[in-house]
Amino acid sequence: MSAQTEIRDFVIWHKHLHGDPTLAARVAALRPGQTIRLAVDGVAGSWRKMDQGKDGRPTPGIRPLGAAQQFWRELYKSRRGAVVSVSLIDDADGGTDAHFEARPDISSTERDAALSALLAMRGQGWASDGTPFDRDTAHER
Amino acid sequence: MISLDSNVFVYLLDDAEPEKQAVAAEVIARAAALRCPVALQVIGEAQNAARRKLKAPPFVAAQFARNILTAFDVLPASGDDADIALAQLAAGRLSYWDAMLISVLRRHGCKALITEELQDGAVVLGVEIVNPFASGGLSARAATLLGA
Repeated sequence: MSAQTEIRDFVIWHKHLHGDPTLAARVAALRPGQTIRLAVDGVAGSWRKMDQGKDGRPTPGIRPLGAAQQFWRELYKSRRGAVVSVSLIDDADGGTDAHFEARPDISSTERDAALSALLAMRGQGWASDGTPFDRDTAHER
Repeated sequence: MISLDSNVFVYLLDDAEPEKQAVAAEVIARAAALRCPVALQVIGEAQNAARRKLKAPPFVAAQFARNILTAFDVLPASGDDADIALAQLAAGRLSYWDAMLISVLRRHGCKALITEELQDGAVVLGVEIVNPFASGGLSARAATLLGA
């Protein structure tokens, strides 16, 4: 089961987690500074419960950390307003649930540069003879 | 979450297919913006097809595949995926490599595969097969999935 949330801020507010009351309650019960592992749109990462406000009241939201922060910022930039899935990662499950790790060693700048380089490989004279692509052939040496 | 097959990347490089090349470029750019992952298997198939099908030299094929590897997150295969692929092969339902690819995608939560292979619209091992190439350009279903 997974919740859904709309990409609308640099953080995820508890009240914007829909569809999975258990997950919403789990997030709401976190102490300030406590972290939780979530798969957001299938991408695994760590999220941190926000600190208390100056008045001492809890702030009902979680912030992405590390690679999750980079991933979430990119989502905010490119897919603001879209709805994505949010599910709890149970690290004791042997990694068989539906998520994958974003690669923290590759920056968004590097990704963009690689995409530009990839798209620029058109028009360099590489051409097939019209034979349909065959996957098994693509595994021959 | 959706994913791209190696044939989409190969068409990007293939100057003999300008219409499909244009569609492939749009699909790849949109998929990258959506942070769609690709199976690790696709990296190997792309470099192989670039060398063998398009006759690109190894250093070009390697750069081609490396660009994909950097621009997209990759999904690794597991022993469970191989087990499923062997079962599909034994039952005569799918080729080993088709089943391996789709099993990896399913295990990572992908709902659709953008590909020219397999039957457009079919749901294979829980993954929808979507052919992006239509007579007028990008297919309607692919456009919907990619937010075009």
